Amino acid sequence: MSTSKVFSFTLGTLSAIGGFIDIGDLVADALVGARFGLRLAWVTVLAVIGIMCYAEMSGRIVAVTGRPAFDLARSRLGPRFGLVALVGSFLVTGLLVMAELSGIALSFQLVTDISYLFWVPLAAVLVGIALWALPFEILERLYGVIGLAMLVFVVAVWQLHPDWGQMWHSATTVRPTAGETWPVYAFLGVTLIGAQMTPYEMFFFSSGGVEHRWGPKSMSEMRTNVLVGFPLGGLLAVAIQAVAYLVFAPAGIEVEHLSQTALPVVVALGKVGLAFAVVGIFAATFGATMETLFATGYDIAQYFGWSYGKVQPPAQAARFTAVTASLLILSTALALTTLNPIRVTIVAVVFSAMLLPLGLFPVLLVGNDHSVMGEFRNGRLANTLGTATLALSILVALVAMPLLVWTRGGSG
Amino acid sequence: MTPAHRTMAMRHDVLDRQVVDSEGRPVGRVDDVELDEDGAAVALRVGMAALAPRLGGWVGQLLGGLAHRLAEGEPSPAVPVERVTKWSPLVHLDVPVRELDGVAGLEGWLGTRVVGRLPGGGDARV
Repeated sequence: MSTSKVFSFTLGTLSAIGGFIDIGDLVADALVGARFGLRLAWVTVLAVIGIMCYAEMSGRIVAVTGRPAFDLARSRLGPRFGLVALVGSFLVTGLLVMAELSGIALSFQLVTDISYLFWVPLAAVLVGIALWALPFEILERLYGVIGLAMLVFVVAVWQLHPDWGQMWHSATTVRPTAGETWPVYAFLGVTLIGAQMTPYEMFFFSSGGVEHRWGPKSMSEMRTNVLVGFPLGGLLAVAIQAVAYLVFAPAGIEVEHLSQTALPVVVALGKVGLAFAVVGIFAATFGATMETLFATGYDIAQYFGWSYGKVQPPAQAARFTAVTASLLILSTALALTTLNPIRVTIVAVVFSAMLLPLGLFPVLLVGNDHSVMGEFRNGRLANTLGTATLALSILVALVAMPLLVWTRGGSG
Repeated sequence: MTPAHRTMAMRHDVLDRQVVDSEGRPVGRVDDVELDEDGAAVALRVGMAALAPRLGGWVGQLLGGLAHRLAEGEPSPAVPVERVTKWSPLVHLDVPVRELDGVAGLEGWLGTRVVGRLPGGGDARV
């Protein structure tokens, strides 16, 4: 097998670690695990199925048309609706960049014990240099591969010697734990959907396909990426929920600080566990910073029709480069305001959940368009899952804001 | 395509499509289409100045004002339809973008004055 074959799934792994598992997930999964055990794990299963369906669809659109799904979205939604979707996703992804940067800084804090705030500017500089100097494929492989250190969360589940019967009971119980209310349960479910089914994963996955120059022959490579990446992300998410459940729930600890997300691994595996967790968190948040930055750049460039991407010299995608650089600087400034990254993350993923239908709908439209897709248009499976996911996302979008207010961000 | 076919219907159809130049480089979107008295398309307009009136409201005014500033009062650039070689799914032109006067001006300015001057700014990352 050639190296390119071996590494052909790294876009999928990067989508899993950095897309699916980013700071939003680390936070949401740890919060959920500590308060509800595995009682919301079914939401993660739904999110994995939903994002797989739409990632496959947007990947297929790229393979057929050579253009990412959102390239075609403006002609479908029209310039006004398209602009609403653009501004919305810009704000959400901008907040996420700030949270992901704090995540990178957190991995330094875990090693040095110096506050993450000190490390934020350094993290931003590192991101800036890496994005400027390294080609897309190297970045993707680097973070796709070292991000596998996140699997330490799965190992930690075993190492904590759980009562598997009790775990299964928790995973199959669809109601809040004693002392918790239904609105909070529903709110954290919405948070999980927002953290795990993010439109930027699709933007990035499909635009990454453009950078890989996918064609109709790449269909199986693309599907391998979907089949490897997102279930891996889902597995990691459930593992993070499980370790938080096993360590925090008995002690009645609530997750309020970023640094707590690595604590269960330390309890299970000691210093070695911490080392893996730090590397994993670093790779996941670094990968996610790159994904969110690029997704925002792709999004804006595609709306206005600018040249974009990393396959060409930066000077030939100058507006794209300028937009991503400005966003990185703005996010660094935002992170340095000492806003609590956990609160920011939760607000960002809830807004992300509210905007999800706007991200999914054009993909479903284009995927079904016979004149664009020809023989590769959606089959029955893609349409059934796609429509069900869209319906779920509309429901989630409608209840997200009321629940955020009602539960005061999950604290009530 | 004969001029008679370049009607209002086509105008509606090509609006918002991606425009690429002879080298496959993205130029912009069909933000507006210029028609003559018979309703035949004469030129495509690309850029924020052409898009802003279509957005309308204060957003349109804001973007229009910004585009006006950046263009230093120059009229929004137009690409004659004779330059188009293919209309669907993308609009293909038979010239490279650098030969289209005023189109993607900010891109060119940022590319030569800012990003291109940084070390490695003009090199592909392969």
